[in-house]
Order: sequence, then structure tokens, then C-alpha cells
Amino acid sequence: MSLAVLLAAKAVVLVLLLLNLVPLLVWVERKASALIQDRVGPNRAGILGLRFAGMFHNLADVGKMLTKEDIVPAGVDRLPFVLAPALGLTVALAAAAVIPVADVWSSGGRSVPLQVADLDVGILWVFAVSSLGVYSIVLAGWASRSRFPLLGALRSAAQLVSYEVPLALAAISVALCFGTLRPNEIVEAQGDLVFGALPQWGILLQPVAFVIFVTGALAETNRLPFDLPEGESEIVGYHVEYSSMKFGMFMMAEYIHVAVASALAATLFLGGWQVPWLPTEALRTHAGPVLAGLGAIGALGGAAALAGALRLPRGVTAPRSRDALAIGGLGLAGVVAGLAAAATGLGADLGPGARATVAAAAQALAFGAKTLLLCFGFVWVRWTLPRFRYDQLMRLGWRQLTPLALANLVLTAGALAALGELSR
Amino acid sequence: MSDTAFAAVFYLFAALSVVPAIMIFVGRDVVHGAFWLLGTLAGFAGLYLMLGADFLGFTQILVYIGGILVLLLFGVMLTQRTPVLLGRTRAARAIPAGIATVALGLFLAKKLIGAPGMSRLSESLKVKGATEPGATRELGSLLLTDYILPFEIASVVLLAALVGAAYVARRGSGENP
Amino acid sequence: MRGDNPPPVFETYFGLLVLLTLSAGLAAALLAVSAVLGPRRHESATLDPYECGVPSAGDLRRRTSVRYYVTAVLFILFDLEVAFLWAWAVVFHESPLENLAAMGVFIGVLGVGYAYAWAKGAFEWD
Repeated sequence: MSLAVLLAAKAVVLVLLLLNLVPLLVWVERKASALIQDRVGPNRAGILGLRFAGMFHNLADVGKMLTKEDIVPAGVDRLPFVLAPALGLTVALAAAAVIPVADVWSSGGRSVPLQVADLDVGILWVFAVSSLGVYSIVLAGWASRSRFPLLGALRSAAQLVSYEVPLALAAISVALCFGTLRPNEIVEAQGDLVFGALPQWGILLQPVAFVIFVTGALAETNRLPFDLPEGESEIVGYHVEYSSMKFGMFMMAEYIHVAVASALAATLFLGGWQVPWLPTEALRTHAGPVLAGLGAIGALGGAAALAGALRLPRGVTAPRSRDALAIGGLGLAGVVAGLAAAATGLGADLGPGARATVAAAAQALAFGAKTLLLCFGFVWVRWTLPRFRYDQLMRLGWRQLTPLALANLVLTAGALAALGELSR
Repeated sequence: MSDTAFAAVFYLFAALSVVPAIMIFVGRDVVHGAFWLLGTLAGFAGLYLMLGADFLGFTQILVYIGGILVLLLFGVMLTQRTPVLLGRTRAARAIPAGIATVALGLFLAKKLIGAPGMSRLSESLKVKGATEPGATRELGSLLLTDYILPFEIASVVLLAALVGAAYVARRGSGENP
Repeated sequence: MRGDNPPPVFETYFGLLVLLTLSAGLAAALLAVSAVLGPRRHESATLDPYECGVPSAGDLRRRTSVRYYVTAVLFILFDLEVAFLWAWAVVFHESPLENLAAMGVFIGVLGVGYAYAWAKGAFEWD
């Protein structure tokens, strides 16, 4: 039964991670948009005088959405109307099952893949499950029995299916280079060096596919410049009739989609859990210095938080004195913990299990950094580009991205075949 | 993983395949029927996965649910004015339909009962290939060697459909947007 | 792996089922909590379908444009092609030249159809 327990634990951790990414991304979105538009951004909500730069606004949002009236308009199809947001959220969460956050943890004959399911055709699972998301939209639009949602749902569904083809073609180009669909093998292969110096990440081998993939991912996640359902200029979103947490679930699904799309892009194109130039074996052999490095990173982060807190207005009467205290305290704790970890790494002799854990932590950190970087890219694009018109959007998908992705795939195959012949 | 868990999952997917199918049969709303079909197709995908046919299972989701069912929904929404299309089925039609259903059911049941390994569920599902994950590679190899001709003919079939779609699109472009 | 127990491949996929169940449970819980916590004090106008403030008239589920249907057809055709490509990408390296030729013919034939559809205006949305 230990297998079931392990699987359940991994699934719970994954769901918690994704759920916590949602408020984080919302916060990043608000603060980044404020930064880009030269504003301060939300900073009022607080608990016991603590504000944490507006981070508690997300908690306030959750509370608000949960306690708002759950309006079910007259004449809707009740069951589909309720099922639609639940389906959307479920498939968004489930798509992440195959993404590995680190190399397989192994020690003393035990090995634990650090993903919920290590599938031979893992990449295909992401695409298969994500393709179910279109039902959430059509179901919502149809069940609402209202003009705008139906029109919006049809448009969104057509948009989703249109960009699925170039997205899949871009992923296939990468799979073609490495000859596998197993996410862990794809990541592993990206650790090899080309020209003896650069790690052969997908973005290096397939720059065109990366651009196509990111564009397609923006469209699949309904993000700007493809966010017609939410566009102020086009009030025809499929979720027009939804309120309270049902609407919130559509929004949650969108942010989880962003996180999963970023994680998949990191896996395919940015080397996944690979720490550049440091394969798993090296990380395990030099676990001590690696732990010291991780500790140093933590200490630096803590020091930055501390420095930031010192610049806040101080004194008992200052409006944000508690913020300064709390952030400064956390920063100080970070510095201490980081230094302690660094000292342990340099001093103590680590066992094989601890070595594997340190390596996995370093890889998970690298993977998280890459994923968050891509997530930030999503936010950045949203506050930079104007919105497409619907006909422009369909034209870009069918007349530009699809042929480009096909040409890229054929050229890649040709180049690979030529290379194969040359090296024979 | 115990046999019990395996059997439980099997019955879960079996129910997922059969119950929505019955709902399509008894329901009168065509769009609801299309949504119920989602459950049936997903249940089949689950059964394929239990047989170790991972590629087939995921392509089932990708193509049937993600593609053909969307087409079906768009088609139904395109053609109908009211959600209820089907009137009451006349008894005169119900009788031959019932006979045909029972006959087909008996035929399939006879085949199933005679099949080897029916005494134990996991035995019957333990077919060749189910013990080894990763049938995709073999499937791809066969497709590009032994079955290369059907594979290329498939592209011609797709071409014909593409031409048809283009024709429909041209005729439809003058209508309401 | 476990004698005559179920095939080991089942254990690989079991994680998917666990995650799906967990996600669906979470979604159901969110719906339930929201339904319990939310107040109920709507008027009849609250329950009207959204129509920019104008009373709605006529059938709210009008027939939809054929363009969406055509888009779905086009999508299925390319989706099928993509389904073949997934399997092809995995085995490509076994004999690159032959596989390149096989897929070249396949994509070439579809490319003719794509060009025809383009010329006939199937990708125009105006």
C-alpha cells in the first residue's frame, strides 16, 4: 500500500504547489502591471497591520469570492452550468502530472521519480488532458443559455483548437530532436553539451519552435494578446453569466494553465530540472558544496529582504513599521538558515540519501526558477502588447503559425537525417 | 497494487463508459447527448490505458474527445433551433430496435463468455504488450515499415476531407458571421 | 513485478487517476463551500440572462455560423496528422532517411490540401 501513499503524497504536494502559484501569479501580475504603468499597485489589504506589499489582497479576493452570492440565472442548464468550471479546474491541475521537478531520487536501491506519473508518452498526456479544457468552455457557454456566453464560447473553442496544432507541432520538433516523449528523458538529454560548451537545451536546438510554442501557449491560456473572453472591448466571454467562486474557478484554471504551460515550456526548451553544466551525478558527488551554494543563495535572499526592510519607514508610529519588522525578521531568519545550511554543506559528511536529496533540491530550485521566469514572461507580455482582433487571431494561427511550425518540423527532420548520414 | 484495486479501477472506467452511453440513449437533448459522449469516450481511454495501450489511450482523448466531439458539438449547435430535436419515439420503431439490441447483446455476450481468461479480470486484461510500457516505439516502427502504404493512404483520405472542408467554407462565407 | 498481480504498467498510470480524483474533489469542495457561504438575496432581474441591460428577446440559442464547424473540421484533419507525427518523432532516429521520406510524402499530400484550402479562402475570417 506504500505505493498508493506515495502517489497520494506526490499528488497532494503537486496540487498544493499549483494552488499556491495562483495567488503568487496574481500578485506578480498586479505588481508587475503597476511597475510597467508607473503605479504603486495594490497595497491596502492587511492582517494585524501587516501588508507585505499587497500580497494579502489575494486572500481578500478568495474570501470575497467564496462569500459572494452564487447566482444561477433562470433558465440555465443546471448540471452543465455547475460542471463547467469544475471540469476546467480539474483538467488544468491534472495536466501537470507528468512534469518532473527533479531527476529521479535514488538511494540504497530505492528510487522515487519526482513527478506524479512517469509516463512513456508523458508529453502526450499534457496535450490530451489540456484538450479537454475546451469542454469547460463550450459547456459553460451552452449551459448559460444566453447570447454572449454562447458566442464567446464558440469563439474561444475555435481559438483553442486552432492553436493546438502549432503548439503540438512545436513540441514534436523537440521530441524529434531527442527521440522520446518521456519528459524525464527529454530533460536528461538536454544536459548534454554541444560544441563541448553549451548545454543543448531545446531553445538552442529549436529556437523557432520555442517562439511558436510560447505564442501558442499564450493563446491556449487565453492570455493577452489573445484574451478575447476577458477583453473590455469584446464583452462576449463564455463566463459572462458566472459569479462568485464559479467565476473564480475559471480564473484559477487560467493561472494554473499559465503555470503548467510555463513548466512544460521549461521542460521542453529550457532544460527542465537541469542545473546548467552540472549533471545529476556531479550534483550528488559534490553535494556538500552544492548545499553550501544553496545556503548562500538563501542567505543572499534573506539579506536582500533585510536590506529592503531597513529602507521602510521605522519607528512605532510609522505606518508600515510592522511590515519592516516582519520582513526584516524573515530576512534575518533566511540569512541564519542559509548560513547554517552552508556550514553543514562544507563541514558535515553527507550520506547517500542526503546527497540525493540535496541534488534534487538544487534541481527543483533550477526548475522552479525557469518556470517562474516564463510565468513572468506571460505577465510581461500581457502588459506590453495590444489585443488581437478575432479575425487576426485566427489568421495568425492558421496562415502563419501552422505552416511555420510544419516547415520547422520538416527542416529539423531533414537536418537530423543529414547529420545522421554524415556521422555514419 | 492489489488485484482489488485493479478491479475497482476497471469497474470505475466500465461504469464511466456505460452509464453516459445509457444517458445518451434515454436523453432527448442532442447537446446533452454530445456532452455525455465525453464520459463514454473518456472511459474507453481509461480502459485502453489499463491494457497498457498508452499511445492509443491518449490519442483517443486527443482526437476523439479533443477533436471529433468538438466537431459534433459545433455541428449540433449549427443545425438546430431548439435544444430538443427528437420527438417521442413511436412504439412501432421501438420494437424492431429493441429486438436488434437484444440480438447484438446476446451475440457479444456469447463471444465474451467463450473468451479465454474470463474467470479472472486481471488475467483477461493481461494481454501481450500490457506488461511492457512503451508500445509507442513499436507502433511507430510498424506504421513506418509494414503499414507504410495504409499510412500514406491516410494522408490522401485527409486530403479529400480537407478539400471538402474548403468547399464548405467557401459556400458558408457569405452567410451570417 | 508482483507475480500474477495486475500488469506493472497499471501502477504507472495509477498516479494519473489519483491526481484526477484529487483535483475533481478540490473543485467540488470549492463549489460546495461557495454555495454554502454565499448569501441568497437576488431579485428577479438578477436571474435574467446578460444582455447589456436590454430585455432579451427571441431564442437565446440561435444557430451558429458554419465557420466554427469548418474550423473544427480543419482542426481534426491536422490533429490526426499530428497524432501520426507523435509516433513518428519517437522512431525517427531508427532510420532517418526512410522516415523523412515517408513523412515527407504524408505532409506533402496534406500540403496540397492546405494550399487548396488557403486558395479557397478557408482560413479567412472577416
